[in-house]
Amino acid sequence: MSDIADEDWVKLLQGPEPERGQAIERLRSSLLRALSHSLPQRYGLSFQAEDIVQDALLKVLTSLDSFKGHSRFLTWAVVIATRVGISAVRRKYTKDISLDAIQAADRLRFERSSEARQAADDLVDQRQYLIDQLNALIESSLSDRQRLAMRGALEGIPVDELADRLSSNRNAVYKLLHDGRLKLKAALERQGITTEMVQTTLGMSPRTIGDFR
Amino acid sequence: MFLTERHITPLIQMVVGAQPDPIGCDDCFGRVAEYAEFQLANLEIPEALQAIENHLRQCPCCRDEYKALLEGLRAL
Repeated sequence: MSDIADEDWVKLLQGPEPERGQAIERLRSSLLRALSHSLPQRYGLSFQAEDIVQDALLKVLTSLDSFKGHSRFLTWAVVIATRVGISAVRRKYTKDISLDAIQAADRLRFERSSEARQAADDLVDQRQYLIDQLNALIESSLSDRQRLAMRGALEGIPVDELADRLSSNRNAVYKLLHDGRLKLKAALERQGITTEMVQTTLGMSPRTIGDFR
Repeated sequence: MFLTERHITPLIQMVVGAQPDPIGCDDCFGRVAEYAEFQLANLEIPEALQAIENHLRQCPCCRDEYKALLEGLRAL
């Protein structure tokens, strides 16, 4: 990774010139290498690591006091840089998704489908039953804010972006969303709707269940 | 604006896959560097870091960042 010892990084980065400048350049080079491998393919967007490495470097330099030595210095720095980089990619990815569009009264309610299906009638009935149950449970179990957060997540808005748009923070929105998921899961189980039933009705493989993206 | 057919599977995944998660994104961020080092070294994840593993399973946002982190670290 680097020939600068972990215990020396912070001292050099906070020390006198010219050693400080040399250490900053080494750090910048490492962050650029890491981000060049991790960012370009995210969300199907073209994204240049050079565009974000300076912001990432500044974030690392202003966070030095929080490095406690629980990991290698560069691992810690790349964690910070990755979050800066991914956040920038997400902003680019979601800039055209409006939260206004999902704030209507029906924001988390399935429309009853009248589409003809190429499936057995009983499976269509089961599917509609499941959708009706979901609608009722969404209405009775979740708060307005949970419905909004869940709707945003279903539209592909990442939690950190949702937090910005809801004037909240990432941790709080994650908890809001996660509590909503657990409430709905418990409510489904109380209705006797099992994972197996969902799999059969929706044609989902066991591997797909739980692989929430 | 109703949910449509394309939302059903992701919603069910969100709901059925939910498991208790005692930590949040902030705690995960604070310790994910240690977690990544254990994983990159193919070492058994210690009990103290298993909450990170659980959170990464539950939180797509942190999981996405973690995947990017591993790619970046492997390049160093």
